[in-house]
Amino acid sequence: MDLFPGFAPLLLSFKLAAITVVILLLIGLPLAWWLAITNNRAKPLVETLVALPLVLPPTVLGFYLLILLGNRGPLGRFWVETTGHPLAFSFTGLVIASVIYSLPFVVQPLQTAFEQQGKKYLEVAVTLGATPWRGFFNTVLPMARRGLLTAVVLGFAHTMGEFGVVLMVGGNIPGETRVVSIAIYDLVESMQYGAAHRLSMILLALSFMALMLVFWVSRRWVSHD
Amino acid sequence: MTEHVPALDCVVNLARDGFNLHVATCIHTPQFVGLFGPSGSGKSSLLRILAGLEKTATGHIRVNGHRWLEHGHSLAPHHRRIGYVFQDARLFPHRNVRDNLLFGQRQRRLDFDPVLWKNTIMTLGLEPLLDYRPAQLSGGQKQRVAIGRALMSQPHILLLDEPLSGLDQNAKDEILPFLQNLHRNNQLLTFYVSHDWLEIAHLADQVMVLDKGTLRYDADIQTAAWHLATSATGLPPHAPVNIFDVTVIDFDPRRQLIQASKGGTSLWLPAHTQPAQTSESLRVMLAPTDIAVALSPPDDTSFLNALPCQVQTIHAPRNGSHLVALQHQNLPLLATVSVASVQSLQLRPGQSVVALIKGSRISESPPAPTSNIPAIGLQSGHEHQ
Repeated sequence: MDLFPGFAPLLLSFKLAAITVVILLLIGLPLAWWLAITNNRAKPLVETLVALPLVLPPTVLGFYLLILLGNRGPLGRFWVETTGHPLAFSFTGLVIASVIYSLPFVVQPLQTAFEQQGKKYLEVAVTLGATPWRGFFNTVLPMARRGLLTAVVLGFAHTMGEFGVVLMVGGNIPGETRVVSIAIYDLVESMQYGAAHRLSMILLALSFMALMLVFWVSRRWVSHD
Repeated sequence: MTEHVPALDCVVNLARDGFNLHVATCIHTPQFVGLFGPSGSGKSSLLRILAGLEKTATGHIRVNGHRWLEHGHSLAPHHRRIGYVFQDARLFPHRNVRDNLLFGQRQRRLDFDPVLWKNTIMTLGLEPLLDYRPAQLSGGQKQRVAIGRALMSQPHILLLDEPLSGLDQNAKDEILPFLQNLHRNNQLLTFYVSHDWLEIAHLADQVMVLDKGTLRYDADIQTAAWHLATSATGLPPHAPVNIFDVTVIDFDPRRQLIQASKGGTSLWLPAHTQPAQTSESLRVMLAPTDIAVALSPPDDTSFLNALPCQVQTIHAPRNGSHLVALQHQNLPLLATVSVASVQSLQLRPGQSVVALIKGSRISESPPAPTSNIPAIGLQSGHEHQ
């Protein structure tokens, strides 16, 4: 299924970004909520670990991830032993790498949104009979919806544009780990500027529209609250 | 039921950051408790403990016989039937007024109670606000919605944490009658935290004074009003006020007067409006400066009420006057008498005098705008079958 050069990598990137965002929400929501309300002394340490991918060169992050995911690495060996497949240079390996790489882009907007409201509204919800769980989804999350939207869009877009880390842990296997940013790099390397343009324009337009959506929706939500 | 179950029976402790709270109390019948004391005395913490929001609290709490805290087992807040009104209304900004009001009922999976709904929105005047978002409401309106939201969740105990403190005087005047109405129409144990003694004087049946985390004082409202005026509670003296809960006996439309009784004593009050019904109870507040003292009943004066009294105590003078405690049958009265008058009348404890009260100076607390509506059925399961 290759409508034009780079279509398959584009689709792969979408798939990677979508799966990564879902996993990141599962991890990021509880983590961001905990960071927002905790007085635990370990909070700065956890915050540092979450923010590390922001400042670390992707190659450094990718190098350590390669060691972790490689067949002799702790996670890679476990994976090979249980599933029979290697983790490095696989789509699953890319997902794990992307989750770590994009973690701050999801956790930080959520944490900021949760910190703004604190526990106040969750307390109201539980005094009105809501379980903490329902209070979180009925009250805390809708009130943090701007942060949630920002987290989803940034997490998605950042995973779409991932390059260095993918190159380190994923290589360039068509259909498996050849994502769109690497495809563009290859096209440019082989002087196919037209095809590179097309892919780049698609990514530019998508990024522009995604950010427009965030700002436009946020504006509407602000005027409603 | 053969055994009497107290509305609240609790012994609670909370230790936090050098602050220790220890409160033990037993409240037998549902009533309106004013929780009073300086800031930082633990009033809000006590409410949070009752609500289950302070996880480290120890002791026991029983509400209508239900065990909320006992032997280290704490019932989760969402299982406690509480109505909590916070100082900052904390309405859910993403829901309109109607959805805010219905939130508790939905979460507790209670059936929609049309009578409760109608009475709540009528009592609190919420009908015109139902489709608004919280951001479109004034401070007073928000607080009314917050009170309605708590009531609609059909609580067994109502916790009001300084609901008026963030509001200006106009908004306070707007809400006080609603709270009084609520109080008259409901048999619901209510804790009302406030710094403002006059708010409590308007509303409470019972006063608890908290200081540095301990219960310093606990008395019915009349007694507390006396003790607060004379620093007997350990707090600095507060504005003295006579508080009577009277029963309306009769209305005289020609003279525009209400005849009311308080423990067998009959008082004439000016009628601002015709009372909804005789036997209605009314809280009357009277400043001690509005009571004059005479040695014998004068024949013709503008004072509508002349009550023979005995002088109980004469407190040390402050600002040129003595606060004089009088007793008429079983009705205690506080009067302010100037130092000069105390000397010229030669007032002394045990002396018989006449207390003169101008009918027009007796201020009935602000009338509730919709006082003839049926009682709000807070525990509707029992009352609206």
